[in-house]
Amino acid sequence: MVSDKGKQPAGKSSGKRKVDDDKTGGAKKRRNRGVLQFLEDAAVASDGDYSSGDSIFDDDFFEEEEYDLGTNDKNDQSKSHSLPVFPKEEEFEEEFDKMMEERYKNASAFLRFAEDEPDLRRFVEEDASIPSIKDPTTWKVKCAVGRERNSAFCLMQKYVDLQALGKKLQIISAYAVEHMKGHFFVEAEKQSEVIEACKGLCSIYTTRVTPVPRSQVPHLLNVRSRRAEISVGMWARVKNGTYKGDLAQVVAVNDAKRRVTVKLIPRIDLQALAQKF
Amino acid sequence: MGSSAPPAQIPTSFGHELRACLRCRLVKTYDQFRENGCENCPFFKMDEDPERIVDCTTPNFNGIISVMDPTRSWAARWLRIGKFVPGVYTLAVSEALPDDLQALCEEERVQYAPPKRV
Repeated sequence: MVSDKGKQPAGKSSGKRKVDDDKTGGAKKRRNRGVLQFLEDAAVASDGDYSSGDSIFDDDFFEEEEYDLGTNDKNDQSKSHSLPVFPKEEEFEEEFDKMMEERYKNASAFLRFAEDEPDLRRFVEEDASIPSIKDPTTWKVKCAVGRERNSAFCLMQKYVDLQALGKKLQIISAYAVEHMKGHFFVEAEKQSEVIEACKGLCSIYTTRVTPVPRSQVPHLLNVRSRRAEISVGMWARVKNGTYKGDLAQVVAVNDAKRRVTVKLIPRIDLQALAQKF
Repeated sequence: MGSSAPPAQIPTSFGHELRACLRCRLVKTYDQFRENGCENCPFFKMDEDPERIVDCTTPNFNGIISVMDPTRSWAARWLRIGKFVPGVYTLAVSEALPDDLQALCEEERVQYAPPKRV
């Protein structure tokens, strides 16, 4: 929770700066603004950290002390707190490390080298944080639940097939995000192009096509794939079959094949065996 | 590479055999990578060495985007696949390219951006 508070302002600032980059071409102005903003944000972020850190311990005394020391630098503060509340500093460091990692993991994105290819540079500057009016509209399209991915695949296949016949499907892209059930998204200039493209695909409902506000589009695409979280030694529960409901332990993971091997206690029906013999 | 570039192969099945290239995030089946390699990353030479496919691609990815016109697609530019050939891509992969293959990218002077951590 604490790290979230620290993260937010920093993230916002980089977004702001990108927009700024696009509007003002002046390199000098851009640099100054960037630095100023960074300083301001850092102050806000650490403020948030302190107050929320204190609230965990729910101690009026420290809260008061915090306000008194408000203008002091960070080191003094953490030292003055470290004596009575010991675990705090450690927790603090951890949070701070996390925050810094979050902030600087993309540090290379802020660097630009003179020897960069001109191609690459244009690429960075084009990378606006929301689509402009010149960009195509994103349309939300209803489809059968479970056919979201499939719809995107089918439209690509249709595009390729029509291209071979010398015709062009006018849509620009089609995408399915995993957290959105029963819908997928199409980039196209006009609604009629979306409807035309989806003609003949029975799991897509073209009567339900609505434009997505430009400001919402980046949120749709902002997915981060989780790492495969299953590791040897973890516990699992069988969902189906003879062993349904039984507890299992993972003994091997094959990431490439997306298979795990588990061990289970055999279900031996002793009564049935006894009757048999 | 504009809209005139020939599109990449389209996946022929939609099940667990799908894999995404760790550099360009192109999605195809294992067999398609084995036979034709990756259209955007030919220097990985996956078609010559099937073992490379396991290193260069992943079955763990999140979201699918079919890009018909990469140059005009805002989503493609935002995902940094605007310079690649039209085709089916994934929105995000979870793993980073192994170090030796990252070095290969550097040698080939192609951009590689490791995935963001959750």
